[in-house]
Amino acid sequence: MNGIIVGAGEVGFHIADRLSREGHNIVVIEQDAERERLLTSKVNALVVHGSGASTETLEQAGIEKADLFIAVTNQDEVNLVACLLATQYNVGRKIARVRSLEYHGGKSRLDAGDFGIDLLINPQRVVAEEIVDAVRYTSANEVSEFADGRIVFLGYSIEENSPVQGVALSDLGEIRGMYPIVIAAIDRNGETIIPRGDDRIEKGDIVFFVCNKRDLPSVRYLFGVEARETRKIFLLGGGGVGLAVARLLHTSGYEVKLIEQNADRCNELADELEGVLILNAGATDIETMLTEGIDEADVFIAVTNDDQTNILSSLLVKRHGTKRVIALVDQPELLPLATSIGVDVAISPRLATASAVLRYVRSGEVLKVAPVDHGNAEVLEVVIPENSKLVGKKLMDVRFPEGAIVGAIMRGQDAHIPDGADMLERGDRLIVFALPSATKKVERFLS
Amino acid sequence: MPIQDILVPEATLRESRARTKEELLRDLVGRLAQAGRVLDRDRVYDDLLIRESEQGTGLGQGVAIPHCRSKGVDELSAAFALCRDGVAFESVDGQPCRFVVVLLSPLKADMSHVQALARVARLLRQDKVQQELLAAGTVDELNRILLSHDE
Repeated sequence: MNGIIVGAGEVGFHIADRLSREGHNIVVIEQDAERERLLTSKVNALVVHGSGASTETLEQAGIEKADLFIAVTNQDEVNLVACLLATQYNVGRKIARVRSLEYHGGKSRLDAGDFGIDLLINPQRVVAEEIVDAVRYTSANEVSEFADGRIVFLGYSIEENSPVQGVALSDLGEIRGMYPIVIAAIDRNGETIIPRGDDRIEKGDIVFFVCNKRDLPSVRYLFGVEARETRKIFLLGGGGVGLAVARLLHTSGYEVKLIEQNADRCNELADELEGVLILNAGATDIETMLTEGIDEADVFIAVTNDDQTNILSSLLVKRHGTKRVIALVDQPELLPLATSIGVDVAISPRLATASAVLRYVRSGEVLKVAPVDHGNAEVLEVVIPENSKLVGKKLMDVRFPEGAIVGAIMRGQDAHIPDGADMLERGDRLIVFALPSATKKVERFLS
Repeated sequence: MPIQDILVPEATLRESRARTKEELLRDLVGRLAQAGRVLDRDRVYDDLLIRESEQGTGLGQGVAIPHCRSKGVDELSAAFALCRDGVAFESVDGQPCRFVVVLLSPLKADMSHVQALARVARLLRQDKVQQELLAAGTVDELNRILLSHDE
């Protein structure tokens, strides 16, 4: 595939990195010399200096031959104009990142079709959905659902005295009849490893696995994490993300209190959000929060536009008794730091946007992709095509690409955690965990 | 966690007459209580049934390891029962279970519980062990077989 990416910010960088590693020809258009240098040094992609809204630059980037066009600069207008121009060159698929709701969303008078764009991605909406997922799974670091929610992919942190600390993977294999899970990967000191049978789970690991949703109670027993009911939620920051998250959570039946510093904004929010308590207070106004019961809150979510505020306020309320804290963290450098000092879940708008784009870009047989472990790996939902050479083979006899592991097999309505003796059939859907180096191989392997 | 450290030999049951898993669990918990390994037998029994309601503890191949963490025990303890007619434990393969170990763990969560489960599973699923257990004539013989094949 020949792809052009406009904008080498964090989102563009991540997409360029991933697509080029998967063997696509990627050209990136970027105006900023510093970003250009960074990209050239780290990513195997061609960089063209200039603006994505200029035909000259686009032609230089080889737009006549491009079949994929992704505009992800931080300016909506540039992204939209770039996509309009790409339409003139008959580029097959066009994706634009659009922040402003003027161009996208319920009240907008425009839709993607007006621009000839296949997909408009609104980072705020993507992030809001990711946060709501994180709220619904109380003990997990990362969660994605597959097969219409019947299969879940989870990551649990292993703390001191965890029942599985020191347990070998082969031990878990022995009791698979009772605890049907497939451990896909372990994050150990920031590195993603695909463990083998004699590897042991250690304190500080994040263990990623696939299981059937109906087995969640037993999986929680195995990992020694109690199912906690989440009811009371505090939300800090009444911007676009905060508004979207508050609305989604309130509709799902949670009790939401939204804290916003700006009094005028509080009035607007109160008009928009019926049933949500709006508190006019600052991020560190712990007295007000205590009066409202922050010490008994199940979840605190910080989504102001300042990373430090989000991280610090999360740690502050956790000290005062809030059970779980989720922080929006924009700067990629702060992501691993935030989780290492006590933030339970750190969500990156840029990574979330990049994965939404990647999800769309994947060809044919890939139904869904979810990023894992700060983008160090992915979970794919794929279909075994009719004519695949895998049909009729046992899982253990198939030489699956290195760095990839099958976590679940869906056949019709049945979702199943496999062992080696399972036979593959045509039309089976597989949940596959893959390191970046293996993603493309998995796609090729199936076709 | 060697099986020797957790198996309570005097609780071993050579010919269980239990027809349901409830009967069998009552029986085994009672024997562990007689051996002084259970502080509160009703509580332990209830905790076992709660686990059973969340998931079947049948491993397949005729093996079941009903288990729980419970306030009613203060050390990891196991009891074996041979059920020649088989008892239903909602196994993955739908087979009735003839080789049953009940495993009780104190509340304090640590890895020994999971490792003991794995160890018992590894032992009881071996064909050779199952044949020998079926052929055994006495409780002592059963205990000896269980301990000698543990590795």
